[in-house]
Amino acid sequence: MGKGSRTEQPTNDRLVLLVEQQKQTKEGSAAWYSYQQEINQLIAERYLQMLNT
Amino acid sequence: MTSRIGTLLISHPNLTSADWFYRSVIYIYADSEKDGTLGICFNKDSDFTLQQLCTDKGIIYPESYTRINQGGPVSQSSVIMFHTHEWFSSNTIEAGPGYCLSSDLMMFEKLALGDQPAYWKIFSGLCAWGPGQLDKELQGQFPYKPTNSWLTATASDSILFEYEGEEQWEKAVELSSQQMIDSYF
Repeated sequence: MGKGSRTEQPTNDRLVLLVEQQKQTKEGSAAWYSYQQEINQLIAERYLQMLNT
Repeated sequence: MTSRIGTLLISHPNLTSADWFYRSVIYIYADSEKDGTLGICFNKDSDFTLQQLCTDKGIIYPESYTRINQGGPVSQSSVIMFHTHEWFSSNTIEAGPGYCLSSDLMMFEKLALGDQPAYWKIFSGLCAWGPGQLDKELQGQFPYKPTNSWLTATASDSILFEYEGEEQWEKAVELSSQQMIDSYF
């Protein structure tokens, strides 16, 4: 039986990356809120992009 | 997850005036567990008029009193039009039961020619919540406080378009209370 190895593929989804990075910070800290703002901005930008295409 | 599209979020009465969402009424038009939630604030006007905006785009808009509303604290340079679904422009998508959103030059051209939906408002900026954020706010979970929480109600033409400013917030609070009482009977 072959032995498989599965390496984790880096994601290029910026939203997923930001959510993951936010999880590394303390909830409620300045850094956490900063990530939250960035996430919210990205969600808005994506929607506007979708609306305009 | 049950979709919250078409729901109104009404800010908590104890939210302080320092908060952007103080006495705000927000309509949810997109809601996904994976991609987050989007809404527009309906009861904060701005100093800018539709006429000024149209002039910037080289369009002559005949009247000068229609104001651009502040849709939210995110992407404030973006302009979108919320309207009833019988009308459309070149970029129009559904935004809940009976409503649509448009964002293009044609919508200004049509409005200027008097071709208008039954109900409509123009907004700059929008409200956005990351995945799971609104759930936490609604439940007052840390790091959000109970004052970050929201009252909710089902939107209607009347609450969205017949009132403005603080009166709209007061009417929305009444509507939320009434709908909650009705749900028990």
